[in-house]
Amino acid sequence: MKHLDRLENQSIYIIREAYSQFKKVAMLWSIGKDSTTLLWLARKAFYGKLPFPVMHLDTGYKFKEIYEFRDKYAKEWGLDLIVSKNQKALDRGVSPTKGKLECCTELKTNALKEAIAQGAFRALYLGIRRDEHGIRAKERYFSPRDEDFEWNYKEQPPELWDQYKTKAKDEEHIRVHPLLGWREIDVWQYIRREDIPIVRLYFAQGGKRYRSIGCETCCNPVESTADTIDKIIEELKTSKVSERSGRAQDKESAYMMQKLRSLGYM
Amino acid sequence: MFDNSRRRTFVLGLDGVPYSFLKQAFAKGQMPHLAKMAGQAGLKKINSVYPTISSVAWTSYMTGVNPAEHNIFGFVNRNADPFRITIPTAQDRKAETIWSALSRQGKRVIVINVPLTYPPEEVNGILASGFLCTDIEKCAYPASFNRYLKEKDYIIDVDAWLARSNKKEEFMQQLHQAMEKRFQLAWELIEKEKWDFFQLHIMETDRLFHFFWNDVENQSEFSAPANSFFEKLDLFIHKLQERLSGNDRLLILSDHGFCAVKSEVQLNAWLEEQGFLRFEDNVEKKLPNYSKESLCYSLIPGRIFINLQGREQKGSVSKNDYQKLRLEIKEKLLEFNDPNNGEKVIEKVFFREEIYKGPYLEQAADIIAHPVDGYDLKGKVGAKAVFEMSELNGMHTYDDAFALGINLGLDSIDSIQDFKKIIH
Repeated sequence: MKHLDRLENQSIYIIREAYSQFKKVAMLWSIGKDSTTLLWLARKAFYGKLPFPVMHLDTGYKFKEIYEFRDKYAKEWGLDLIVSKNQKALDRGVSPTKGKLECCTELKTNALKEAIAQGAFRALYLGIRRDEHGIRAKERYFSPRDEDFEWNYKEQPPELWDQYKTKAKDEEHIRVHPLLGWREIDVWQYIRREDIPIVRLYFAQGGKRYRSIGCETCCNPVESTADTIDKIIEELKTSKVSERSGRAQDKESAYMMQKLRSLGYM
Repeated sequence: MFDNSRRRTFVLGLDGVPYSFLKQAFAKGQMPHLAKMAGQAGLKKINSVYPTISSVAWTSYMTGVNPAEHNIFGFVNRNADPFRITIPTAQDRKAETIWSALSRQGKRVIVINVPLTYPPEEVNGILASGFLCTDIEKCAYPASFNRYLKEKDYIIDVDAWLARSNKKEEFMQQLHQAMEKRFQLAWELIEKEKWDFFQLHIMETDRLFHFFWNDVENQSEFSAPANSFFEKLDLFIHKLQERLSGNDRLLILSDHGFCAVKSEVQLNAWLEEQGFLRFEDNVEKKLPNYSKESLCYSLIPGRIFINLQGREQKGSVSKNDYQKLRLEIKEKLLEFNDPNNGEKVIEKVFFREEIYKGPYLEQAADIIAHPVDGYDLKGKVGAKAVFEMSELNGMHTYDDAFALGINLGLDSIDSIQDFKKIIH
């Protein structure tokens, strides 16, 4: 398990480094397997007691299992939990049935902007991984976002020989990605080794399981009989289906679809 | 000896401008500058590609090869197993572009707004991607150029929802604006940058024809703003010719023609009527939910996929029945008439191996149906009727694109796919 130790060490190093640089930090916790693993690593990094808050972007459309899990472990692990919800947008009736794009923008992006402004956070920890999605392949461990929230992915400082660029300009916040180098299977092997609690939606029931979870309205299960972590790991070794295939359109392709529709091309 | 290699090449792409439209415009005394150039250099009628849509046509142009070699077959694709609708982008393109080849030769290139160049590839110069780039922050190579585009309020593409939500006036204004922004950008780059190859793409001609074809053909409140749109384009071409040196090559071309829509044809609804495509009663009618008993389904425009066992997630047609079924569908398509007037709907039916050749043939639809001009093949599932009308009143045609070359011989050119070999 040398491989997992190396990943663990690197992630813990990044978590500590970011905290010592920025102090005003928060961790995004979607309650999914990756961010729960990230949270586990952070608890290890700070010997069980996090010195910063954990933030859940609550769209109001999450699975009930997610809410139950969040409340149980927030208490058990003594987390300083910030639940960030764009209630104004929800009151206006924003929902996935009315438009997935607006829904994601209002309930995730704008809720996050609001929460960053309120907490005056200078850095945010996220549990994204490079192998999840094409656009994430270009991410860095420390990734600046400017005041417009934009990520200039072609003009990033290089990160050579683990010399991470941790400094931020005043108007920016830095996104910190300690799990960037982990693969899906690494996460599962680590969960098994550490016995990390995980939302039960990941385990097969009636021939289906969720490989990636988010809002109940926009996630579909994949066909699977993997009802234990061992079986999930075995399944991943042979699966050709992409991890996020059960997720609704990513934002960019949603825009493209909209564009194609406007021209009658769909 | 005259050094040919020092000549620069400027390519102006006018999306969807028909040869026949220009001929008529010239005869009416419109677009006088382009008419004069055509009088001197000749205006050549060229063919498009199958299926006749911009993403396939321009990818064939930029790579000089057919879809089975460049791997772009439409605006949407499907992943066969598990079944999923996907949107091809420049990342799916498998053949080298003109500008990449020129970059390798050390030539400096500028490429603006060509469809299906997003995400932007690295070039020796500047590439601002076009249609299907939805975010100006990710539009260009190098990325620093994005800020510049943003500062200039550059418009990648107009918002066709305006035309579809009764805001045609605003839409027309945006067409003018977007084209003028692109001209403005082109002037600055022509002046300030060093370049050996410059490709400027005007997408707005296609957008205008889609929503205002009737207004271009017949008199209406939008005829005047449409005419002034083409006047502006003509003036740009005139100034461009003046700005280029006598040695520079100039190529002006389109990727397909246009004609009036008689009716949109929902091919999946027709396949359903014929019993080829089936849905269980209790499911939402969308393509991924087609039933296992289905024999085929269609993606826009006119691309029919056999529900083949071992390939499709819900495949039920055996390999032995594949060819028999293709022949049966072909026969039915060729007998398919518009009940309103008895006219044929489908002009030609191809099996993929008849029109494509190359390593990505397997990605192509099994059957490609090409309509009679006027019948616009669509791919909606759950449409109320096979024959429908929408806000779109112009559609693409295959054999009516054009090209015009100055200092550039077009004798060897028959189709949009042939240009790469003469641009070097």
